[in-house]
Amino acid sequence: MTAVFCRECLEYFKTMLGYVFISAFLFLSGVSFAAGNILTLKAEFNATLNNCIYVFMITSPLLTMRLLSEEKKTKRDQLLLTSGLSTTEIVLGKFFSALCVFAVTCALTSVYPVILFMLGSPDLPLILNGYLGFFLIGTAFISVGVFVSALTENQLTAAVGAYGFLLLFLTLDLLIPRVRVSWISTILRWFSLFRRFAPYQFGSFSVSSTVYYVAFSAAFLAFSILAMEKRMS
Amino acid sequence: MSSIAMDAPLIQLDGVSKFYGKKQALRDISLTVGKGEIVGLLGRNGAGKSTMLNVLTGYLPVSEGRVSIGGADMAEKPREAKRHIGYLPELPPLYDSMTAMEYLRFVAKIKRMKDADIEGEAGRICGEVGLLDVRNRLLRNLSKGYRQRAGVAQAMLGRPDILILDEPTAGLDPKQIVEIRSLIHNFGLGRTVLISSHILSEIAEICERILILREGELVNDCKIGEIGASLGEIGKLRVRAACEEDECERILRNVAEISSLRFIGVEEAGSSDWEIGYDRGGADVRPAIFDALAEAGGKLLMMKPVEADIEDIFLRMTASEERHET
Repeated sequence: MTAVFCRECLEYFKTMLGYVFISAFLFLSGVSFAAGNILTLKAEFNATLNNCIYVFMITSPLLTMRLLSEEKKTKRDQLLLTSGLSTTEIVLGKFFSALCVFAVTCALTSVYPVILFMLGSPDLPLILNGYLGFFLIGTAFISVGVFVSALTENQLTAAVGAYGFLLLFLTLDLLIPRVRVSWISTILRWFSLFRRFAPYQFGSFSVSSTVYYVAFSAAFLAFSILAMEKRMS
Repeated sequence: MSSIAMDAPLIQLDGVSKFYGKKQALRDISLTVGKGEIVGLLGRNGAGKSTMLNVLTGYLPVSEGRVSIGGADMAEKPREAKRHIGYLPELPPLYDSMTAMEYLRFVAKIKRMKDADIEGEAGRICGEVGLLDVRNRLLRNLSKGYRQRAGVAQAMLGRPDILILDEPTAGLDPKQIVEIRSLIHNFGLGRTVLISSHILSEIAEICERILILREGELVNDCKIGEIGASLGEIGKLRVRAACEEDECERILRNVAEISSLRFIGVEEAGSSDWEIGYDRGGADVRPAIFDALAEAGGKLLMMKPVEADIEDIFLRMTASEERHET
C-alpha cells in the first residue's frame, strides 16, 4: 500500500493535476476569505471554512477522477493486481494519496488565519475545530470520488459522476426544510453531509458527526473495493 | 526465488472454465507445466489466450476449476501464488511519468522485495534488458522497443519462477524482436516461461511445447518435435487451373480429398492459382483434382508440391471443423 501511496502522491506533482487542484482551491478559497473576512473586517474564519466546503465540492473530482479509472483504461491494473497487491491495498493507497494532497492544501490555507491573527485576535480552538470538521467532510468527498472512479474507465465520466453524487447529497440537504413529514426530515437531517459540519463551525466537537464522516468514508471505500472486484470478475 | 520440489508442476490447471456473463471463454482446461519448460500458447483472436493468461496470473478469477501456481492455490493463497509469477501483459503496464529506474523500483516494492535488494536488482535488470543508457529517462519519451524492454524488465524483476508473456514482440522491428527473443531465451534457462503469440515461427523458435486453444478449448498440447511429425502428415499442392476463381472454387470444393483450399491469385490471364491441402495418410488427391477439372471442362495448367509449415498445422488445429479454408 505504501508503494502505491507514494507513487500516487508523486504523480500529482509530476503532472499538472496537483498544481491545478491546489491553485484552483486556493484561488476560490482566497476569494471567499477576502470577501468574508478582509473586506468585511470579520475575524470569524469558520464561515469561510464553511464556504470552502463548496469550493472543495467543486474541485475534489480533480483529485479523484483518474485514481482508479485510468489504471483500468491503461490496463496497468494488471500490474498491480498480479503483483500480489490486494484491491483493498490499491484502493487505500490511492485514497490516502488524494487525502494527503488535500491535507497539504488545507495546511496551505492556514495562511488565512495567520493573517487574521496579525490583524486581530480570533479564537484558535474554534478555528482548529473548524479545520477538523472541514478535513472530515473533505475525506467523505474524496471517498465518493474514489468510488465513482472505480466504476468507470473514463476520467471525465468519473469527474462528472463525482459531481453528480455530491450534488445529490447537497440537493437532499436543501430539501430538508421543505419536507413536511417529520420522520423523513429526521432521516435526511441525520444523513446530511453538510449539516453535520455545523457543530464544528460553531466550536463544539461532535463525536456523532466524526463517527458519521469516518463511517461514510469507510462505506464508500468498501463500495470502491467491491466495484473493482466486481468489474474484474 | 522459492523452494519448489523439482518434480512438482509449477503451473497446474484443473477443469478451469471462465464465463463472461453467458459467454464461455475457457472450457474445462486441465494441464500442468513443469519447472524449466518453455511453453507457447497459440490460438486465433478470441480463442481465449489472454483470458487464460489473466486467469493464470490471478488477474481474473476462474468460474469453475482450480489454478495452482508453485503448489499454492490461486483462490486460497493468491499472494503466495502470485509471488512465483512475472507477467508482461499485451500492453506493457508502464507509468509514463516515471523514469525506467523509478518504475522498476516501484514494481520491486509492490512485489514486496526487500528494501536492501531493490536498488541492486533494478540496476541488474536494467543491464540485462539493455535499459542502462535510458534508465533515467521518462518512460513516455522512450521508443516502443525500449518500452517493451521496460515491460519485460518488470516481469523479470525478482527472478520469478514463472515468466508469463502476452505477445512480447508485438509491434517491434526485426532487430528488437531478435533482442527480446534472446532476452527471453536467456532468462528462460532453468525457469518456466509461458508465451502467447500469434507469430507461429516465433513460438516454434523459442518454445519446446505448444498449447493450442480453439474457442476456449485446449485442442492440442504437444512438443515441438510432434509438430514436426504432424508437418509430415500434411500435403500441400500449388495448382493453376484455366478457369475463373468462382468456377474453379466450385469445382475444387467438390473434391472430397481436399482438406483446405486457399485462393492465391491470378498469375496468367484466364486462370487462377490455388493452394490445396490434403492428408498424406489418405488417398492421392492429384488424380481426383485432375478428374474434377477435366469433367467440368477446365484445364489443369500446373500442379506442384509445396512444403507445409507450422502455419498449416496451426490452421488445421484451430479450424479442424472447417473443411475448407478460403
